[in-house]
Amino acid sequence: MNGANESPILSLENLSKHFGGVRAVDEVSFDVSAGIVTSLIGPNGAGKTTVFNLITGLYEPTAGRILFHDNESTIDLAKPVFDSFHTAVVCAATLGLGALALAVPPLSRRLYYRARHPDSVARLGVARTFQNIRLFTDLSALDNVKVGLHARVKSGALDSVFRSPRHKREERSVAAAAMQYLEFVGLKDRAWEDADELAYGEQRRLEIARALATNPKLLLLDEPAAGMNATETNELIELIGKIGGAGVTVFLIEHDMKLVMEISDRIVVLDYGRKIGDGEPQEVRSNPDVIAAYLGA
Amino acid sequence: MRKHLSDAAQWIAESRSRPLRAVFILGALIAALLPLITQLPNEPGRNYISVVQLCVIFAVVALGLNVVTGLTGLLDIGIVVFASIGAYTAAILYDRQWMQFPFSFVVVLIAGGLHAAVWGLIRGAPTLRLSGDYYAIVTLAFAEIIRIVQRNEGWLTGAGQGLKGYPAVNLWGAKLTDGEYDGLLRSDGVWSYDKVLGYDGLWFGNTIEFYYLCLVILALTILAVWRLERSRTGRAWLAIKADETSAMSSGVNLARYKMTAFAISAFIAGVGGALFGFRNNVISTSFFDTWFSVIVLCCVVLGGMGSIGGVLGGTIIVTGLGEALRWAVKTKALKALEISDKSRLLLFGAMLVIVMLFRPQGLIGRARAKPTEIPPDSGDKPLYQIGGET
Repeated sequence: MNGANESPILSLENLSKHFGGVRAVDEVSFDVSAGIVTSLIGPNGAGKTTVFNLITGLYEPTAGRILFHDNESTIDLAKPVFDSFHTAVVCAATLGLGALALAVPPLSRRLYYRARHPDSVARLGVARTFQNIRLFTDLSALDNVKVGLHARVKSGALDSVFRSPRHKREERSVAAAAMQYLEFVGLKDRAWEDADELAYGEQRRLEIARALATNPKLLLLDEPAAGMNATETNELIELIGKIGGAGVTVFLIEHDMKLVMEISDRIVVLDYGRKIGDGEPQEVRSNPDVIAAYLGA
Repeated sequence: MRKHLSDAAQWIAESRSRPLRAVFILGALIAALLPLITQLPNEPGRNYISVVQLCVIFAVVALGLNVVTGLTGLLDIGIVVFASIGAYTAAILYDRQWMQFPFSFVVVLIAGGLHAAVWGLIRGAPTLRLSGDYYAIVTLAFAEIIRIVQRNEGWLTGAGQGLKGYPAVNLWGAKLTDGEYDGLLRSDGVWSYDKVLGYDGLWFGNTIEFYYLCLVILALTILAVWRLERSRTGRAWLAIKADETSAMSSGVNLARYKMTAFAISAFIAGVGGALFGFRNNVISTSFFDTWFSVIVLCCVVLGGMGSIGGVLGGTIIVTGLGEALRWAVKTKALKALEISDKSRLLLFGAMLVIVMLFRPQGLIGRARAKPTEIPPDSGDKPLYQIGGET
């Protein structure tokens, strides 16, 4: 992996998410460059998972903008409907009724904010895993991956009831591809087990396989090594290397510093919702703010 | 046709165990042959045919409920709405002169289902964000609202009296005439192939064609639900049931697939309800009350949510046992105790509690995936792709 390809695949611009009085994410801006591994680190409660939830559309930002750069085009994942608050007020005042709506905070946010739904974000090519594994526990490992392939085929309910040629064709390729994704993460032999019967490390890898099945350009991994032993972590490092090598940009949250330092090309540090560090591992390691945040000095 | 048969065979083969498979095949055979033998050992008040028919109809409605509750994981305690809408729609249409052509029965049945599906979407749209108890409460309330409307809008639904008596025509649109038609189920429970004289129970729901039609419709429903379960749509439903958040993040459009489930569930329940109306020859809100929903839900939960075999088994137990108890309290031995036949509902309650305690997945839970050979993708556009390059 070289840092030559520095064009961003994801940009966060002054992104904020407030829960009541808590500023979980506060005016955070950074880019995730295509083709390299970026890590998001920070103490517990720094707002890392919130950033992931904002990117994947599970949360709607309080303010700011999220841009996804796909080849030549730039797609807004979340943006204010109006360029600025000023235009918003002008438009609202013109509408009269809108002015009233702007006075009511929850309503006003709906009015001038647009965020993509999670499924639409996934279809654009941003996939994720979860901090606390969220598999479809009563489905087999294979079916879990098949759900990941959901948005890449088209057959509807009627196709399936009448077994249309499209249904048959798609089901064949879905099954074959799901098996290949399982093979990629090393779970081919476990394909027919229920997801909750897999070992912990296997469940983590299954979640990655399900995310890969959406054919993402950007893969978000939320603490992939949490709860893993040394062997499992090493396997994971290898797997992430394989994914990166195949051309998927990896953006991950991790507490395991050994893993972070080993695989990251770039590290972004959050503390209390604000960005306190951003740069190459060596740079970040010597950043006094980062040291203070981690040592509590 | 051969493909359909082999699908059916595969469904039976995928049932959990050999004994269960045997039971299903036996059940289907008995149901199919019953009209031929039932005229022999019959005594008044014991009507095997009508019980089997009731089981079959309830099984259709329960399979409809299973789509939303068993597969998509949303607790629905108002399935009666769709059954009653299906029944009223079919009855009102069937009563029209211009509707009396051969096989118009099938047309009104589908119309009833479609109308129910529309209401499924109407109820579904505002409840998309709800889940768990909140969703259940809405379904219950919606059922009551519609029931009250049906009870009061007498110009359409006959109010409390209900709609009585379908036109006495057979499947081919010909008049059923007293004394001329053979193959009727008499109210004393005898299936008669003789010319029936002086008997006023002439309605389509009483004919042998209707009995077999119910069986065919159940078979089609099983086939459709079975195919859906093993399709892209079914996987999306099961994913939503297991975890909405990761379903969304895997690219499943929650709103769309919930709406699909609502529509399909309502359609099947509507068809089942229409059959129920034809069987009773009376449609009134006193048939379609909350108890209807509760009993159908019992069938699904008792047998096993999300499992076709479970739903069928649950229906046989709940409906069959219910009818058996209805007779039991009327027998000489128990008559003295003066037990109301409503008391059978107590037994359902007890059964449900016991099953939930000891087998929360239901008597026959969802079958696990069985290893099968997966051939490599021979299509020209394989789906397996990581990072843009194949």
